[in-house]
Amino acid sequence: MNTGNARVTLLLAAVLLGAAGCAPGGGTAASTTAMAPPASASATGSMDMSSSATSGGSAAANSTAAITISGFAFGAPLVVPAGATVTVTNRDSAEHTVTADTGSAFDVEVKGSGGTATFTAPSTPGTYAFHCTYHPNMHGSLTVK
Amino acid sequence: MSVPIRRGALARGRGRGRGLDLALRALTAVALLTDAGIHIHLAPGYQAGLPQGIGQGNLFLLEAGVAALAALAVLLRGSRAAYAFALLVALSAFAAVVFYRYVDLPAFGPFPAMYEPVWYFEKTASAVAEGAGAVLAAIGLARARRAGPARRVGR
Ligand SMILES: [Cu+2]
Repeated sequence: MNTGNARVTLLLAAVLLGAAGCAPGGGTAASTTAMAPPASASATGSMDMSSSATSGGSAAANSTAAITISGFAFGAPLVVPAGATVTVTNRDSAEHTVTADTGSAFDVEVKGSGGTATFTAPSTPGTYAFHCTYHPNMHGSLTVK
Repeated sequence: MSVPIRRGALARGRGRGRGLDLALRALTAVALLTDAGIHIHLAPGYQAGLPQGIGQGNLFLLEAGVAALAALAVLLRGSRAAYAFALLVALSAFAAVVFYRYVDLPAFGPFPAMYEPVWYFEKTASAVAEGAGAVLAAIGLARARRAGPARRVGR
């Protein structure tokens, strides 16, 4: 097995290359953009700072909205008032997350088999693309108006 | 990756099907390694999503390890046993991904409830690699069987 080590090394390199080719959560995000009517490129890191600055118009802060995860999909894009409480229900066996693509606007874990979680929608209007950090196919869209 | 393969070819060194044999071994190994790479890539997320039992991510890592082993066996030996092992691995992985795409099987034993009614790029790619790996391994098995046990001499 004198050439074996070199071969094993080559094989391992190939496997690792295949595995390192893509980072978790960095999957193709093309599917959700078509469904979001407003310009969706507005979300940036500034949302955290502006969220406290624009807290004056919080008349709708008590409104609620819901996301239901089923079959590894978030469902239709959601439109909510600024600062609304969003309840997420997970009908799958697997646990999922609802994680904003950019910044840290929201990020919750939702246990499987009917688990729920809530988060507060950003107070800055705009369209926030989000995803599940566990499953690369899962993308959704939340619009704050 | 061509250097070690050519060395094996020189050692065997006969027959007009030799090039085809080597291509078959290489392609089968590539299919299995592609499958292994995708499973490794997806394992952390799936483990977090479904840690019940042994955990889906650990099953993915197990599958990746066995697939890499089969690739190694086919590449290094190209024997009937190697192809049979590769066929078993590729076919069972293909069956599992297609089954759980369509059937909502509850958890049983160490296996969590892995129903996932979607196809997406990585998943489809792994299923295609598994299907191709199974077909290639079946061809290799048939060819190795026809050639008889003499093929294994010297390895
Ligand atoms: Cu998920």
